Amino acid sequence: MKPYIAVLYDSLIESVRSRVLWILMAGWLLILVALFPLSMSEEETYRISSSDLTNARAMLDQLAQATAGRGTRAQRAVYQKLDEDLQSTLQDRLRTQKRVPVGQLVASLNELLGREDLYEKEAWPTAQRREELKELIEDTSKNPAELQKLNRRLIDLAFPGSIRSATGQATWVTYAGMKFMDPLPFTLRQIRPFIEATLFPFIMWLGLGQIAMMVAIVVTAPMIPDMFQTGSLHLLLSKPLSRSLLFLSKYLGGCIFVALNVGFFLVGLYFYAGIQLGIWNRGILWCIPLFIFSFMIFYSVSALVGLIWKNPIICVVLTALFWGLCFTIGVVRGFAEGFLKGPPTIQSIVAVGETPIAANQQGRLLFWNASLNTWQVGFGEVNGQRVLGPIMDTKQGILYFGRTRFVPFGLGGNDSPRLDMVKLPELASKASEASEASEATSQPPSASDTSKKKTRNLWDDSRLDTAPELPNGTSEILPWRDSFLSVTPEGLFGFDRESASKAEQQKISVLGFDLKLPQATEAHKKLTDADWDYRRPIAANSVPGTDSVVLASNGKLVRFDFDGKKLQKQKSIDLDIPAETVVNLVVCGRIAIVCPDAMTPKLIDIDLMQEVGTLDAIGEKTVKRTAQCADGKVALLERDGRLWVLSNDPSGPSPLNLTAPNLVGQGNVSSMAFDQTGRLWVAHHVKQLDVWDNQMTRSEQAFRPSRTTPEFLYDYLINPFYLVNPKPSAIQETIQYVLKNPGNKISAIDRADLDMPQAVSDPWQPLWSNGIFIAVMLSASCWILYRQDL
Amino acid sequence: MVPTSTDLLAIDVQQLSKTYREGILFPRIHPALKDVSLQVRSGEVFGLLGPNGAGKTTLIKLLLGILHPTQGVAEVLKQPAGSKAARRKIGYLPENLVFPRHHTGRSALYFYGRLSEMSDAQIAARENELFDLVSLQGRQNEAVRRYSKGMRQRLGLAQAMLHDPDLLILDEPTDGLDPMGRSQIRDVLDKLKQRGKTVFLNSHILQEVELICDRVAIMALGRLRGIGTIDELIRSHSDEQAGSVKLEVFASPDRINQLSVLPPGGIVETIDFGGLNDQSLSRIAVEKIDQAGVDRLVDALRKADLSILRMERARPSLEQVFMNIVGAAKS
Repeated sequence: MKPYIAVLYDSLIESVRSRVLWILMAGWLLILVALFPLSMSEEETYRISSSDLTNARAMLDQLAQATAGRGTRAQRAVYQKLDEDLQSTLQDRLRTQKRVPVGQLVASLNELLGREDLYEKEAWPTAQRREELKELIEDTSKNPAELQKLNRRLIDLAFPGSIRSATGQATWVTYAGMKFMDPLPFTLRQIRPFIEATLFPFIMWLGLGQIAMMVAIVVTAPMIPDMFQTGSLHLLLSKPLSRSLLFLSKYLGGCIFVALNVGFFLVGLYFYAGIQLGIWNRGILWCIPLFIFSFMIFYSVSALVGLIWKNPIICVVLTALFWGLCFTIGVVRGFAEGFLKGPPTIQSIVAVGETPIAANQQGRLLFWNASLNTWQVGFGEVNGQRVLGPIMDTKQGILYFGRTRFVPFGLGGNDSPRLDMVKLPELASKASEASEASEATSQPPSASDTSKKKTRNLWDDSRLDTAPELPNGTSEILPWRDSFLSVTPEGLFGFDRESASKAEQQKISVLGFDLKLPQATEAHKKLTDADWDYRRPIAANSVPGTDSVVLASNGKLVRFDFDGKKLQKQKSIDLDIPAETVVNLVVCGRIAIVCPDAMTPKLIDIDLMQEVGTLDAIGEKTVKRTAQCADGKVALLERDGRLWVLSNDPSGPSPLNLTAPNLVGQGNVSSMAFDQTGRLWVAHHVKQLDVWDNQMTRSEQAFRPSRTTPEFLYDYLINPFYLVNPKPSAIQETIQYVLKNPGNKISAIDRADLDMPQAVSDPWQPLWSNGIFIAVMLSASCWILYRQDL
Repeated sequence: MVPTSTDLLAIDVQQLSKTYREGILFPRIHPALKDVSLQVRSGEVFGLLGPNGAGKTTLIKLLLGILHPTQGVAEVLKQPAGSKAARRKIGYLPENLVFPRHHTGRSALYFYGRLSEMSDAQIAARENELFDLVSLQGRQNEAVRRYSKGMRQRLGLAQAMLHDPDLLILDEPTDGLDPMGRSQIRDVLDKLKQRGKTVFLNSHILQEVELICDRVAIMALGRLRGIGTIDELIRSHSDEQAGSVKLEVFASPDRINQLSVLPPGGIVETIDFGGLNDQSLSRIAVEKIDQAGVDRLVDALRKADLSILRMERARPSLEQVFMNIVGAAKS
């Protein structure tokens, strides 16, 4: 055996004979044993859980009304089949507004699922128009599962907006076979990527990255100082060994202790995830060397300290201080980035003439304040929400925007989002002028000219007016005709401005103050038929130059044409993608560009409803945002900030011309929009904005907001300090990368998830930077050892 | 007696000096070794003596390459001191040897054997012989943390001999051993000597050095103060510090006093036989008398026709020589 191998082998024996190792191993074993019964199961079921009731109060109100013979026939039919206890409770509710336990309602509804007499043709007249229901209704020998499915669909139809449409799948968290809590509103296929990309890294970060790391630092701290005991070291140095290699062997030997711990736990976790969750992710095993590497960073500090002071206590203290320093810098930078880089990032733009209006990820509406050279927040600094829109009605000079609660993974948005209207009449005229000027001279007026004529600031609160709240569950609003469309799981709703202005506002008195509450639904007219059956995630977009709308949901693309009253379903095509795939959709001429999450965008001819090609230049990337121009141009934004422009040129050799223009901020783009003159407005690097001419060769205008003091501190103090400081915690990003199963295409459950921060673009970069740090520390140690008289 | 041919040298040290610098802001210079030159012949047992702080351990560290010399050169077995080639041929037993706590006697022997570039088969072939030699047979599978100091010392000796080195550097090898253990170590060293191995021994126990070593060097205050065989050392120091002489003469004390042959400080007394004094027998004792004085005294007694029944010439011991040399160095 080579002498240096002997040192390593001796370290292994030393570790194996250490009691601390066995205590830790026992701890890991206990955790794994406790974890092992925890599992997930998926069943086909249409049972109702309390989480399915998105508006239980409304449902109870409707059922209470049904006691008096009011409400729809379907609601009355459901009421009549409920158990007597609940019926009498609902009657009481109508009289006394008595509260009804949701659990009682859920139990009673679940009893209904087994009744064979729930369906009445008169109560559900549209049911036969749905293929799925028609088959179930006509089937006279339904099995209990089919009966349950039929009845659930009927209940869903009876109470739209109050109960979540059943997917037929329920995912349960189980412990030792026992079901835990209510079923989760996701499929296992949706959950698995997040278990792998979020839950596992978190468990590892906490268990191995923090707790085990500190224990390992304490346990291994004496190894190098022990080597320097007079009677021990001199004997080692008398052997034919190189000092440096002896030290490095000892250093690597110290890592064996960590390797045994990490290896034991992660191999256990690998088998647990495979056997119990069905996730055979080899990335878990790749985490073993990554955690050892992470420990090597700290141990290189401990070893150097041990070499200089030869005292294990000083080793532990200084290594802990180093750990604390790295942690603090990382946390400070993380917080700073969280406040300064994520939420303030522009996520949508509407350009009216020369005036940009933007919304950021923080849920704030932004107006450009030229005098202060900054973005001015307008109409309430609401945090933690998502702005829907904004959409500018250029004729009326009204800006519409919605605000909805932002919760990742599609868990939010079931409530009715607020709709606000901002009266900007001067922009209406400016928009027309800009359009005319552009046509005449291609030289739009400057922003300073615009600002001179203003009497009130655009962000003046007096401009804000309440508007009827958006339909329940609105996830997106789209410019459509002269108004906008609300996309909801219950259908597409068109906003009728006339009705909205006529709608009487409800007045209530609170503590002597009169408050005006907007009426909800009159202004939003449902434009789709009763056979609407599309579940989240839904993507929709208008077809430029027409009143048609295309929609992608349930793995299908459907075109709806407007007949003057309704959006009528036309042809559809199966997209050959999983039903739960998040899709972005835009139309270029008569070609719909369907961009499924992490898949190559598909080109669909919306007249023929045939796939005519794919955008291979983009490849299997996620497109998070699209923009379309009246002249047929389309912009696609990849999740990692790369912008593509697709032009429709039927006269050219290829009707669709795809380019990645060389723009300022390319690769860091967060949003884009075309204005009426075809110019492209590109938001990049958080808050910067550039306006590009039609050819995208010249930046006509740039908006560069002045740095705030926190931004200045971040750019010139926190970030540079972070960059030169070793970053052990950055290994977590590499861990997340290796845990990401390449077989999992899903990167989002809801479209809003696409705005969540992504892993770093180069996951191996932390290995290089920390590897250099380790090399520097070990080289310094070897040099000191070589020079030292021992 | 310095070897005439350098081919026979196991250690050759020329003008070796080592100065320690302590402190960073206000460095203090501490000379530990000054101009030391010595040679150790192959096959001899060489003893290095000196009080604490004399520079003995510094010299050993320089020979092993643990320290870098400030000045001078040293060669060990014809290789630069501290080189890997030299260390391959050295077996070293450090003072206050500490074994890692997780080892048994056997695993420690294997560990150090592997560090000496031995294969496991080579170690296996030697282990029983060595455990027998150092009387640890039967205890080799016990954890070293349960070993007594003497057992650890013997295990240390075993590991030093394991790879059959040409030169053994032993730093206080009998430290902590009982008389029986010391005797065993001496036997081991004798066997090594018979096999032609060179032993460089650093010890405080002068009697032991006197018994084992062929040649001795005495160091004090970082300098070499004397080197040679024990006889040579005593002889070279006997001229300066004369020994005592005792004579038993067949004559009464009065008779001897009448002769006036006693040198200054001489004492004459009747020999005491357990309380019975024989007036016809006297003992003459003279301290610090050189050989010429002894010759004159004997001549005078014989000239007076007195019979000298016994004469005892007491020469200085190694300890006396050591004390005198160290004392002189300090003064």
